[in-house]
Amino acid sequence: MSEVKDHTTFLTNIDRREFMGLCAQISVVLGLGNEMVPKIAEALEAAARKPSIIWLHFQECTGDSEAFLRTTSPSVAELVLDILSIDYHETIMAASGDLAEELLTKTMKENKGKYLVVCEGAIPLATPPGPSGLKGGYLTIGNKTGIEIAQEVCRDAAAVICVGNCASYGGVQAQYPNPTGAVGVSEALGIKTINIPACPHNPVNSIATIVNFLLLGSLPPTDRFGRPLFAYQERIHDQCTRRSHFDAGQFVTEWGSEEAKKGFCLYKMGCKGPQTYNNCNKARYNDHTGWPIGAGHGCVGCSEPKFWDTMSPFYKRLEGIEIPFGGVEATADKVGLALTGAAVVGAAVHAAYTFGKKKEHDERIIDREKKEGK
Amino acid sequence: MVILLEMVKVKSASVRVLHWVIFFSTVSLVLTGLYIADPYWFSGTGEAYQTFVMAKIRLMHFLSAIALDVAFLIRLYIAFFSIFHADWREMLPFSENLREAWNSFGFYWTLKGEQKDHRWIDPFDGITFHLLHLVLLLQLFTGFALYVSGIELSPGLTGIWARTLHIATDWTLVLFGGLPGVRQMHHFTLWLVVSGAFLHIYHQIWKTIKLQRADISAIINGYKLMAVKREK
Ligand code: SF4
Ligand code: SF4
Repeated sequence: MSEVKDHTTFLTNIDRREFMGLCAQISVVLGLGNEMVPKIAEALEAAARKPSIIWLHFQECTGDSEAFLRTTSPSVAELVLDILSIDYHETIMAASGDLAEELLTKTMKENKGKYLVVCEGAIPLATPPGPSGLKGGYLTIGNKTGIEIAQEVCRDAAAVICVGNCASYGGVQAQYPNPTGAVGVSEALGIKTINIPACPHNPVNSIATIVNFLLLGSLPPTDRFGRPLFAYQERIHDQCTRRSHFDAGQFVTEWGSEEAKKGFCLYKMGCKGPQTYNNCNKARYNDHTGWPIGAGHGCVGCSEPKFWDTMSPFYKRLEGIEIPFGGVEATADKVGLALTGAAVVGAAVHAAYTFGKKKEHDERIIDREKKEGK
Repeated sequence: MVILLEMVKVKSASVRVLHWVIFFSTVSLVLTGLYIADPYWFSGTGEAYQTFVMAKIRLMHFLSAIALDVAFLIRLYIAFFSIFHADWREMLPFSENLREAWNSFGFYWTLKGEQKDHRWIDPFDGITFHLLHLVLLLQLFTGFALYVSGIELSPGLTGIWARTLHIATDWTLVLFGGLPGVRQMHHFTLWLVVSGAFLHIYHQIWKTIKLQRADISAIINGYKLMAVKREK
């Protein structure tokens, strides 16, 4: 690493060692080798005044901002604030009111076509009842609806990055019956966004996406849900630390039991790891120390579209989940068994009825002879 | 009525072998599938690094699925290009087939009227086999969609295999609402296979007893009885 020029003088609060640590982490998440670490460092450092980032909040809980600011060493948060130039972020910026709005307009004008928009939260499209009758009126900031703000700000953006499941696919507020008509940003605007879903998203993934943009000038390749492949091409189940217990057939069947203490697989407790694409075990949360399944809780599939509808109840295997069957809610097992039972009963009734009955045209067989066919 | 029956060859050896490959792989798939869905029968004991209960059962499930699918494809080929008898026409619900199948269905409940003797698959069987095959096909596609979800799109042969499967099965994800929906559909279709197979077996036993044409022996030794002469 000796050939790396020391650009870090402007990073007053960050020591070189921590900075290179972050670069190495990003390199791992992006699937790059060691030799790319200096390049990442250079890209981050060269980006001292660019790109400008506008962070928008819609229907959300600010969990993704919290995750972004808090994880890893605090210096990373500072690094990100210093280097990435987050010009507008409603939660953390000092400005408020008209001043904040001015700042937004100014940033957009000065960096037209070059700034990145990070969206957090879903956008409601339904019209609330009452006299106002404003489309998307369930969310207004500074007299503008969420959809208006999104349209205005995203129009001239270089790229739109959605963090968290809400911005990506609507999240919990888009769950059935979805009273506010909440949808993800991509769906609301009809544009392609880079989605970093999860609840909350892992900041390593969003920083890695931005670094990818800085390094190559383009966004990373994604799957059909707009999720970057470097983080979302492997299932939780295939990187799980409990997988050996799954393959061994060793399962937890009760919380707090002996099996749970031994770290057995959580499949029977409703773990949705086999249906979920994310890199939780590789990237991990909280300073890269832990992740949900490591802490003893099954995956709930928080990085999948519509996971509140398709993965819940979270503590049941999919077989135990009730699905609508023409008006009634029943598990696939119940309906299937009822069907099989009906077949058996039908056959029994048929047998009882027909075996006691003579054919109308009864036949008397006089002879059988064997002959080669064809 | 007095009739003269004669043994005729109706099924080639390859068709019979394929039928039983499909039968045994289906039984194996249902049993292993039920365990994978809800592993309650038994669990692994000992250290995880030397115990592979679920892994082995899943392997059996996959191998049986491959056996079934290959048998299915060969059977499909034979249906069109058999040197003994290409029988694809009998499995299609053409209008005439439909009418005769409907008549047979009525006969099975009332025993009124006469049944024509068919040397090849009769229309009622043809149409029900067709439905059962569609159910198996649905199971094939949803099954491979679940299977490929665990394979990474790496370069090389594995990647080509995975990409091929994605192209063939990704529509099920769209249709049933992602992996959870496909998972549930795959599980529900298991019951369609079980009830369908049960009805098929019952029907063939019933026919063998009631119609006296040795229908079951057709799938074992290839011969069944046909009326060659009818007299009042
Ligand atoms: S705990 Fe969940 S993700 Fe891990 S092996 Fe078990 S089922 Fe798979
Ligand atoms: S383990 Fe599953 S539910 Fe938990 S954070 Fe990761 S993707 Fe979300």
